[in-house]
Amino acid sequence: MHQSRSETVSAQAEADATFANLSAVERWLSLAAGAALLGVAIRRRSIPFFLGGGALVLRGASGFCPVCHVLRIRGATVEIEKTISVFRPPHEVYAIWRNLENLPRFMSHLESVTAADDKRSHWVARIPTPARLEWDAVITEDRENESLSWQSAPGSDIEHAGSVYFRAVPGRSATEVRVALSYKAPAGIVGAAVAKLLSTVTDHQIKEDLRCFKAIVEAGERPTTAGQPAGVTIH
Amino acid sequence: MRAVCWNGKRDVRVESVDDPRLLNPRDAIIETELTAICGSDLHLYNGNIPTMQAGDILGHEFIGRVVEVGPEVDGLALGDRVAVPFPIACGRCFYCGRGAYSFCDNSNPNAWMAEKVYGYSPAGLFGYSHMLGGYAGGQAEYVRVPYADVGPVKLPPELSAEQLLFLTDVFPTGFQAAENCRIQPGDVIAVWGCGPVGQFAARSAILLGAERVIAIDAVPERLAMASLQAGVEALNENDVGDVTEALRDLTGGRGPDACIDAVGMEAHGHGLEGLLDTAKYKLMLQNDRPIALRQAINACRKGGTVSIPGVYGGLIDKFPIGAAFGKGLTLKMGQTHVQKYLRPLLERVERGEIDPSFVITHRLPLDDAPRAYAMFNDKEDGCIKVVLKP
Repeated sequence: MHQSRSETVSAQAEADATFANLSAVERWLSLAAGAALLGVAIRRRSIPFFLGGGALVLRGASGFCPVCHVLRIRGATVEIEKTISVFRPPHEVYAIWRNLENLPRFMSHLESVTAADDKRSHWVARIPTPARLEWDAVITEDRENESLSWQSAPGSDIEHAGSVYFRAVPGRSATEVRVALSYKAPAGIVGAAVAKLLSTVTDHQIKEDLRCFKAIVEAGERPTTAGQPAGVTIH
Repeated sequence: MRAVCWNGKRDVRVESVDDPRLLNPRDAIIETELTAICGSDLHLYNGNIPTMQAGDILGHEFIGRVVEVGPEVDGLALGDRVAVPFPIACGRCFYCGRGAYSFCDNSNPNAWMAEKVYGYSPAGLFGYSHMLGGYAGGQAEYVRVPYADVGPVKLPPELSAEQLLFLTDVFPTGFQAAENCRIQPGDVIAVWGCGPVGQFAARSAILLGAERVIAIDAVPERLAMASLQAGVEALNENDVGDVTEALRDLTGGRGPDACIDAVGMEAHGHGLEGLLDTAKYKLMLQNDRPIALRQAINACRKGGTVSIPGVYGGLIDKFPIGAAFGKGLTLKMGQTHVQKYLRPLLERVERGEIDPSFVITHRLPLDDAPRAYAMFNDKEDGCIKVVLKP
């Protein structure tokens, strides 16, 4: 199931409770296997085969699998695309992204990115402990001052891809930055750590992260009031 | 330290709170020498600005001495006496680069809140709701000032705090309102509201070459203060049946060349229109009561300018767009780009062209802030402007 969305994975799973959570292929396979088992059940007069075959037929016909629902074994993909203007020329903005180690300064779902060499890097997600999620990524396309793309190595615990595009704003020393990110559970299996990450990568959060990026690039710091005094209200 | 905290509608208290500390590399801490209550603080006091939280420290007009500076603050030293603009601005974004500091892209940490209401967020302000940054304000012994390399302007020792304090807001606000009128020789400017912003708008219009200023209000002592300035004449709205007709008579039938609404969202109406607006406001069918604004639009001459320094926060009803369109009016409004005006206006004060302390009617210690708010809000005892000494 492929979708661009802003709500959390758990909210999505709840919303799906009344809907099909199987793909068309899975449904046909389920129907075929169920029909075969029912055939065996009739020939052998076997109640277990009859129940199993019946369940598979129902699963295929309705498209809803309660086991899959409980285990959340379903495809889960977050795809977000956002754009922001930064009052700096493209080469400066590109240089900051080209050093992927800068990303955790403004991407709140990242704990760290460590460059292994010019192309390869190791990423650690910022999710509540004891869950841990990390992966290796490689830069797949690099067009200086224009765009940058990367993706996670094959077999990673999460399938991640990102691209960022830089466009000079005509007549101004400014850059339009367009960011496209995708996070995908490998083989559609959403484990606890992946679910935690997917629930933090929301439309709103990426927008705020890019706002933070802009503030850091332009003003050198992100605005905050955390830690300022306030009155204590006694009711 | 002692600080004036908002605790709800018409409930401000002076409380003991923690001293502020540096939170960002471009911050400074200022020890307040003198602070004031602004007319716009009364909108907070009366609960008309959303996203206030109990315990918020109020105040956005303050001057003082630098007692701490962050590592990235150039050009400020400990002990410097400075005026701090009320809008918080990074100085480096697209808007700041054009001198439009009150539109700063980077200073509001809660920009998403303002975006929900306004589409895009203006700058953060000191002590003026969480939607506009949630920054602790200046009615306190100490204030944290972000982007201290951009905002604060050093002040000369020979001028008094009372002469300098209003460079942080009401003087630039009145001045920008007058400048927005694009005054030409011979122009007559009408100003609705003779509170501090209206007073400074009237005097600024004269400074910028207006032939005459007509100051409109219903409070005699405010009108009296306005007419102390040569070239400013008072119009008491209670003495005339129809303000628009009175202005027509005073301008040879042409109407004022520009109209300044220095009243804003809590205008007091008269007659049926005033009653209707109050009823709608109470039923929450509109947030703002635009009586002064409607009059300004109707009274303005063809091709004239309506300049709005008075604060509006939400929605209004019966906006006379037909009159504005039919007469081809220019509408100018918005928070003041104080950083742009502070130095030039300081020079005018130094040259003796204006002494901004003329608006002060009351001087109280910071601890008397609750009484000062009530007095200013109810216009008791001829109160026009209160300064608070920490």
